Amino acid sequence: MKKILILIAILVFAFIQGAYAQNVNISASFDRNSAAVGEQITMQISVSGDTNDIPEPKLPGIPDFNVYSSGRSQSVSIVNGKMSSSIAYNYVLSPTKPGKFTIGSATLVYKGQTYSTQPVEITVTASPQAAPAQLPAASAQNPSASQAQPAAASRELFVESSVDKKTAYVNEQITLSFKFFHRVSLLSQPQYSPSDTTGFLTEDLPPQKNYYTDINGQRYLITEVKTALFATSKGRYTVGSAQLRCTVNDNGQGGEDIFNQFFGGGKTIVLKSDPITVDVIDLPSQNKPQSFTGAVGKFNISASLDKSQTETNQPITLNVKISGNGSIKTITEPKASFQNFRKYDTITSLNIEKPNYIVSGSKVFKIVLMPLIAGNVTIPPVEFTYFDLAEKNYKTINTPSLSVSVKPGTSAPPPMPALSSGQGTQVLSQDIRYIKTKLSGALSSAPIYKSTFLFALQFIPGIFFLIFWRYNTYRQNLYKNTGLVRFTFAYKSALKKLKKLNLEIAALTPDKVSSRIFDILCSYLADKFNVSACGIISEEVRKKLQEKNVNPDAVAKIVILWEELQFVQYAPAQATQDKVNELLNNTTIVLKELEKEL
Amino acid sequence: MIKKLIFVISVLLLSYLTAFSAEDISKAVNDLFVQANKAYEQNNYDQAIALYENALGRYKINNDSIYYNLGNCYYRTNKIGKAVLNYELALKINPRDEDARYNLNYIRTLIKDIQDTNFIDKLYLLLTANELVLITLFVNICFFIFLWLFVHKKNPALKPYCLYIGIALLVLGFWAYNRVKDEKRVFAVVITTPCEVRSGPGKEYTAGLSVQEGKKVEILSRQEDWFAAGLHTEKYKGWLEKEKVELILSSPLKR
Repeated sequence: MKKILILIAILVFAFIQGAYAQNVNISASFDRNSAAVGEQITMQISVSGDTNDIPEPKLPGIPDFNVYSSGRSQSVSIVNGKMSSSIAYNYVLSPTKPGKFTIGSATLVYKGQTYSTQPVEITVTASPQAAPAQLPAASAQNPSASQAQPAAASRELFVESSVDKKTAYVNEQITLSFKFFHRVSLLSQPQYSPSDTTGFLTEDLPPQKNYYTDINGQRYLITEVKTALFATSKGRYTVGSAQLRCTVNDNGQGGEDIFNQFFGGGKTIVLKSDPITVDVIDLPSQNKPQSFTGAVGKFNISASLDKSQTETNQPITLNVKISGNGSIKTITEPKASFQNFRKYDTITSLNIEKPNYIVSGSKVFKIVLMPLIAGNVTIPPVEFTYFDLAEKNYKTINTPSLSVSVKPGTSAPPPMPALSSGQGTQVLSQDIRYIKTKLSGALSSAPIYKSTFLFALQFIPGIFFLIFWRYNTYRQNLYKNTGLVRFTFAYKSALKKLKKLNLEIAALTPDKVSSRIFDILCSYLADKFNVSACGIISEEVRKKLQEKNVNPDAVAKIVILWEELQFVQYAPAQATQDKVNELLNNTTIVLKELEKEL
Repeated sequence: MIKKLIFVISVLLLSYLTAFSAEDISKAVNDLFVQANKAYEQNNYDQAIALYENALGRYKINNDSIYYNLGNCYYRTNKIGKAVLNYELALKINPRDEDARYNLNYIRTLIKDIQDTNFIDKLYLLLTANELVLITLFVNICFFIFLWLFVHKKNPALKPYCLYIGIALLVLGFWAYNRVKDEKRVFAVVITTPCEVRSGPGKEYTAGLSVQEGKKVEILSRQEDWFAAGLHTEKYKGWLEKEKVELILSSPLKR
């Protein structure tokens, strides 16, 4: 039984795992597998998955190629509320020497799992008119110039940085060109470290250009690398110097000597370009519309719906596409209020192109909307404001308003699992709680804990308990000892009997009364001495009383009473009413006296 | 016989009269309360304060809802000290008032006077001294009845009951004793800043601490216009001016 349970648990777990595992695929493709030195190969790394937050893949080290990013494109599709997206990253590879090379795997780490592409082999052939091959010939034409003057030797190689404009608006494209002039053969691929461009967003501008130019009668090969810069805020910025580390022949004898080429200790030269200062000015604050969020350039906006008919609670997708020239990456979602709709998360996709070294492209905002009411519902225009560089003013462009016919739907709103990346409850602001609207509780609560009476009351149960308890034990002890009970209650019961006799005295004959009195006296004494009441005699009574140190007078009195009573009993004729009464009184007195003595 | 009748009638009449007047007060207070709430809603906090204070003062009542609302008003008019004072008063009557506790803690975080209360403290404050005294009395009676039944009837089944009720009585007794003892301590809230706690009763003594409005201090003794105060969180004892603090005493006791 336990085993089955464990098995079920494992199965359920595996199923859940399977259901929630994100499918992420990564692949690399090349437009061709062979190229000549100096030619370009386009590498595309595409990442697809059913989530929206896949990180950028990490490129492998490609040492013998120049690598440039040439933009990326993203496409997103939503089917039945399930989203899948694919992003293609484009790179331009330019081989620098012939041979067979293996491009390693590009890797991607997502949620702890590593995905990688297959390595690809590329054959690079030597270009017949390859630039480096021609250079030795060029330098060979003037071997004296490089040999004779070391200063001139430095002119064999030099670098130059330039920008297309020294003053620019925030977010306006500045094109940074780095030119490498050389007229000697290089022993290895130069290592380029780009300028420090803190304060700018950068965008590579491929392809790298190679061309010849003549300076002072010298023919140079120029390699030009361009980068687009977008300033993030106003101020004076310095584009740092770019560095190029290259190795040339030490003796400048060219490529004729094989030993020199291979072993003749190449000289490493580090070339630095001069830093450039750029002034970035703020956009005019005059007439700045509220909806402006920083886009600079020239843009168009268009909108479309994925379907023109839907039902309530059935989502439709509004695609808002902003395209044009400028910093496409930094465009934010245009603001729009969608009444009668519930708005879900927006997915953005980006396409960047760089024709003629100008950054352009498009950004598509896929806004998922759920109509809440039926009928012909209009989606209001979406507004986008940018700063037009050509006209030097702000421009607001709108999408046309679109209408959807919404039929009353039957289905409940579907959950949007992939889209709602909820942030949980957020504290917007803190404040005290609201006042009480109802007067609750007593109007006045007296501090009753202060009352002495209540304090005293706390002890009452205990005291009561103690009293009851003492009394109980006393009584219990009493009943254990019958002698003591007889002794204690002798007088009480005698008095009770005398009282009763007093009431009945009129109805009884004198002799009967006297016999009753005798009985009372007998039982009293028997109780006191704890003996049987019958058979008690006067002599015994006297003895016992004397033992108890009773006053002799009282003893004498009781003996006399005893005998008188006996006498009346045995001679009833002698008994008169008066006599009986006198006896009764005497008995009461004697008993009282005895009780005191005993 | 006639004397007896007159006595009974007069007692009945008197009780009826007092009942009537109590009902009258409650109605009047309720009217003031509603009026004040309305003023609060219209952000007319000063008027709301006047109305609530009027209800408390004129009828010499002592109600937690009114104190709570007063606390809110004072908070809105930026009188933090008075707000703390009134929340404290509300909590003294009803320590289980979540709203008052929340607002008080909120203000304390604002003035950076955080007093961490642990579970034991919360439990300790769960019942008022009044409730504790009455509950203790009830448990006390129960305990001795059970004990008597156990002793008298000699029923062994009653033994565990006696034991448990006895333990409960001891705990409650200890709790009630401490609560009552605590009730006799006098606390005050700083209502004017700057307020300096000095080493002696006089301006010539050096100031050791500067406390902000809303700080709760314990008043230990009094000398002319100076209070000796204990600051528990800072573990500091010193003297402060009488008019800079207000005692946490319910309104009937003040007058």
